[in-house]
Amino acid sequence: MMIKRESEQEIKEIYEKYASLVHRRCLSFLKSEDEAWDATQEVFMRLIDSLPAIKKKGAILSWLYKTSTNYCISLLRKKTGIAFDEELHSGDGCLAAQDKALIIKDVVERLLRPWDRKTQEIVVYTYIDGYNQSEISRLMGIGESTIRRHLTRFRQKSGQFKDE
Amino acid sequence: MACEKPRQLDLELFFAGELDTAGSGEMESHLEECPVCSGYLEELQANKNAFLSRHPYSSFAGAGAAQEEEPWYDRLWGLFMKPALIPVYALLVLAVCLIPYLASIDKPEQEKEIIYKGKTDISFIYRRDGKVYDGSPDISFLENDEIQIFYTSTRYRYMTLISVDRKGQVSFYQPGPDSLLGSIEINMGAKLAYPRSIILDDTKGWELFTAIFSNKPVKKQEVDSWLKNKKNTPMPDPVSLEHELNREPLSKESKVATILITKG
Repeated sequence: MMIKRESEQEIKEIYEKYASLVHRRCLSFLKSEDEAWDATQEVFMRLIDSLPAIKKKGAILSWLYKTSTNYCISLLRKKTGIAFDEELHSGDGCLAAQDKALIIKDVVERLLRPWDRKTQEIVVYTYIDGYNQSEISRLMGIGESTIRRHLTRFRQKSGQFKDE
Repeated sequence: MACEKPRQLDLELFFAGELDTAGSGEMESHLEECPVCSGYLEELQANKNAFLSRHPYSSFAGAGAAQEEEPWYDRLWGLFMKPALIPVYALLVLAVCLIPYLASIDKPEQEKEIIYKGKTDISFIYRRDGKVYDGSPDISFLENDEIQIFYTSTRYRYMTLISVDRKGQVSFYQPGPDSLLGSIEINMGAKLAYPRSIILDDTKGWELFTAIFSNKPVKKQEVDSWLKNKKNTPMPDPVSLEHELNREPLSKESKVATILITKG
């Protein structure tokens, strides 16, 4: 299929409008600038592939947030170790970033792994992004009662959070 | 009236231009009287400015994808539209025409050897039992040895690192298993560390680490197609495979560097 020249300009405009938001989001998960940049590019490559369908629905930001969330969660779940880097391992104060990365990885591994994708997204939006249920409802295009149901089940089974 | 915490999603939608007219109008009014929300918006803008200065569109792997799929005659016409560059393009066309011809000529064995033993662009160290050693293909490696690759690149912006073992199994190391890309963007310089170390598994035999340097991102699919032509049945010996990969890189604008190790 031939893509016209004007698509390139469109992609550039979308990138300049949204990429910093996606990168910010990926960085909050991955705690590594290099990995967040790779993840941002990966999400935008997928956006380019699906652009006509996404534009029809007119909700690019929610699509980007959903895709970056799911991509980062799957990345964290598959991480098997931390890169061997003499500088990181030799200093005193420089383990902080790795500690944070381990904590997020641990949360994803232990708490999110058993759950379906929808629940994982809702939990991430609630406890990591701090969105309220009304905002999550707008992002995901589902009702607030559905969100509450998923969260209640998650809290009850995970036993990590107090019921509100 | 000021909010206790910023209206995060509304502000992000407003920032991205996705609020409707009524919503945008309401948000603009609100921002005039809410320092919390206006502060958050300023933070988003500052983040965007910093991000785009570090990662402009031209550095994005997908940039140019649309142009690359344009018909070849449109692209060629665009190139020849610059009169001052016509001699350069003429030489380029000549080179492109000559390369397949030159590649088809049988070269003397000695010249093939020179290409094969070209400049080393990757080297490595390894860690075993907590100690770090200089890497050498003469060493027999063990399960759980941890290898750190270093690369030297003075003109290529992307690097794809793979390994091929004696069974023909191909492993990509970055960006990750879910990625369509096989390459990462690299800094130029000498002896720079590849961003992730490699822990060897328990399979025995040889393993050929191959770095593909290029000036555009490389998809995993491209690498698989390239390797498919090299891996015969039965699998060639590693020296022959290494020779083949170096002799015929992924593309004319790419370069290959290899390290062959043995695992005992």
